[in-house]
Amino acid sequence: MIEVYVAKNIVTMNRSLPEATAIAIRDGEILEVGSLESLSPWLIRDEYQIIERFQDCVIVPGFIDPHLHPAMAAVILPMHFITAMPWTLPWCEVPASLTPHAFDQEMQRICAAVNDEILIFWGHHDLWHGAMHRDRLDAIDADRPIVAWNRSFHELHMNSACMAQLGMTEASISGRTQIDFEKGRFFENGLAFAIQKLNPYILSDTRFTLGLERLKQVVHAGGHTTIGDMAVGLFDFERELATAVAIFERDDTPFRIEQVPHGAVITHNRSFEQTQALLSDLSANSTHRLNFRARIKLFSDGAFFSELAQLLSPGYLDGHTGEWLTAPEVLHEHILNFWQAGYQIHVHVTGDMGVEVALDGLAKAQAEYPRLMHGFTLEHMGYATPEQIERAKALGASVSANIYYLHELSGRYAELSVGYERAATMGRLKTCFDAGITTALHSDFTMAPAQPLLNMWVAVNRLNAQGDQMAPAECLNPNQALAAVTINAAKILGIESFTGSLRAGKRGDLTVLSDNPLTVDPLRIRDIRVVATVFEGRVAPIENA
Amino acid sequence: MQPCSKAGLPPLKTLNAFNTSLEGRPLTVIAGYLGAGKTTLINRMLAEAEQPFAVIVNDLGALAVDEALIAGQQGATLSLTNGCACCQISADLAAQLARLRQEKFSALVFEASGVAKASRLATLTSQAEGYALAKVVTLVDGQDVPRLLADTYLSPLIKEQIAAADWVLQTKRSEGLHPSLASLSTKVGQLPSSGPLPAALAPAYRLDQSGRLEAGIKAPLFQHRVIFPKPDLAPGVLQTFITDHPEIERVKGWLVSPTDAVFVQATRAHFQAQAGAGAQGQGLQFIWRGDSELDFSALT
Repeated sequence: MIEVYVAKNIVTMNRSLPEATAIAIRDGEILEVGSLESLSPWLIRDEYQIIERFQDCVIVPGFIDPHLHPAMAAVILPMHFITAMPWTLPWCEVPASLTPHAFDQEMQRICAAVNDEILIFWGHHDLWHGAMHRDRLDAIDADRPIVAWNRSFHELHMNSACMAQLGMTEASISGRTQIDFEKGRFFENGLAFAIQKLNPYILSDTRFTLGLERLKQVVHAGGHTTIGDMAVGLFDFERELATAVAIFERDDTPFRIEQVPHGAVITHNRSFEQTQALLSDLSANSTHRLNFRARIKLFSDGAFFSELAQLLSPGYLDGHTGEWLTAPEVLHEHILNFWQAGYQIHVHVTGDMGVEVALDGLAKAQAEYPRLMHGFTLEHMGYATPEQIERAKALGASVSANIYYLHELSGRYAELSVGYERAATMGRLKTCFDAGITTALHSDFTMAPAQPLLNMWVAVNRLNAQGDQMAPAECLNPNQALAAVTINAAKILGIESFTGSLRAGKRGDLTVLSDNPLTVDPLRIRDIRVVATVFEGRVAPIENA
Repeated sequence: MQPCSKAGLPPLKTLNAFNTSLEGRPLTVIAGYLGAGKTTLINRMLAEAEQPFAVIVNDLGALAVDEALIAGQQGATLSLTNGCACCQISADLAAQLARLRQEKFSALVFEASGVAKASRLATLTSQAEGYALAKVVTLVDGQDVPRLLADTYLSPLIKEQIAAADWVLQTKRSEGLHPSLASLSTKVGQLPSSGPLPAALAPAYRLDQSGRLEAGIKAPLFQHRVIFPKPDLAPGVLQTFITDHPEIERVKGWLVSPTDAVFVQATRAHFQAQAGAGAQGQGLQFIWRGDSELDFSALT
């Protein structure tokens, strides 16, 4: 049986035939993208059914987010979101809470509505919600344990009841840095102390499973048909493998997960030969939706949100320095090992010095053992110079960028972190496209909402949270932005042979939208609704769409 | 996913609460870049130890598996698979320390990863319940130190590891302390390549911590805060507030009334207020010099 979907418009991202009005799918495979008329040679030879439910919609290739972290998301998603930016979550609509008063009201509302053992709110941000402190949480409810977790994830506050429940006293905290007992504040290193006490609760099987189930809804609601888990083993390799199979390898999961192992974890205590044997084994045992391939994730410099990116001169306004997550020479050794074994290498880089070290490693590898079409990818790439982008192109590297940094952080970083020029030019995506580099967008969820249309909107408009347009010369056009969440994202994961665009022979992965992101007013791209997805020929409607 | 923690500047309040006589088991951190001789030293410590002590190895990211080289019979080793590469949600250092607290070890030695900052290790280990404040010993390869200090990517790290240590020991160089080391720290010594270790390296030995804590915790140069001014606050009142507080360097944000909004940008030399719309809730951001609090009650 052939299923033919007709639509107002089909954007194929196949440059030879960029637009169509009908698409025929049989057994999960696209037979042809064209019009009802052009499809007739197929339709006269087999049974078919014309599906008209999307005839007023626009169909694009199934969205791909090549870099997020399901296990991390599973920890955060069971928390109650109270955020300055509105978040659309499948189980609730999170309103924008823009003032301290709004934040408190929302806490009170949730407090009255649920009876969690420990109430955890996520999303507090000084910039909008004012300073948090223990008394403020006590005033919400003095008897129930409450945690207000910061948007950055690097800080939290507890009320007195929570500190009591976790056995924290002034004496047990005394002498620890980055904990303020009076304010109930735990930050940076002090956060580790709080997390250790909260772990039995936030990592319980029930909550973790709930978190993954919610992630599944989030991924679907964003319109994805493929995501990349860009560091399997981030916090527990075995547990992540087991739960992924249990939760995602089911008929009701309308997307696949491309799994990329965390290099430092997978090589830990193993020789390179043993690592390779394990990875081959994982690839061989891939299931239909969960796939390991010859890919590896490595790390260069520190986190963007915590200003640990390594910067070339001049550095941060306050003179602090970033950090290495891997010693440069060790990173180079890892790169060379996996390079010679034929892997597609993904390197986490946030600052321009991190980029430099990664490119040095790639240059050495190319000199020693030249490869073409290798898919070496710079992941995140907050800061990079135009010259580095040219060098990346010459070496054959790709870029997978977190452009939401620009929206959320550029205003603040201009004032407090790196100055205006560098803040405005974070995410130099137009330069990447102009250089001919394969460039994709990702969310690194929950660093950014897992909503490709939102990330496209940022890439096209470059508006920050304060409403200022930052370095308009780096704005993408809508076609480039759409490529960045479809065909280019497929290339980043090395799966462009079967998904990422709509053409004969690829899998029937579609995203159905309320409007056309290529023709709508660019400022309205983020308002387009995802109506449904089709994963390998099976429709998965989105509720409330 | 983003790796966490930054070697930030600890707040003054906790500094005041610092109790240098904090009781607990001694904890020694061995820091130093790759190849400095950390594992060799720990093996020697294990061979010499009279009381069993535990070793935690943070070799995430290193190709040479240090843990496998630690051959001593005197202690137990644990490796941190989560290192500092993420938000320390699961099997992190603090959790390992908590677990080891239940065991009968007289002391604990932590082999840091080669790229860990010494100041960060000191703050991180200060979170450990039941342990004394850590002493941080940084090893430096005396042969390699000129190269490391000249390396664009590494010199800030190496300098930090030297500057923030309680004690710096040169390894692998027999012809005296390298001059560049002596210029970076006054607490530099030579680790003898054979024979008994210096007594102060015994895991149970405690250094006097007070000096380091005072020296290591610097007051921040700038502070920043976002406030929400009361409705209808006149720009003139804000301008006077700025003039009256010479420590304020920068103010940016919105003054909001029920009907309109004013966008303010100010430096010490310059005050600009212009009408704008639709920015309620953004607040007013202050950046000021020094470590003292500012009293914003006249504005809020």
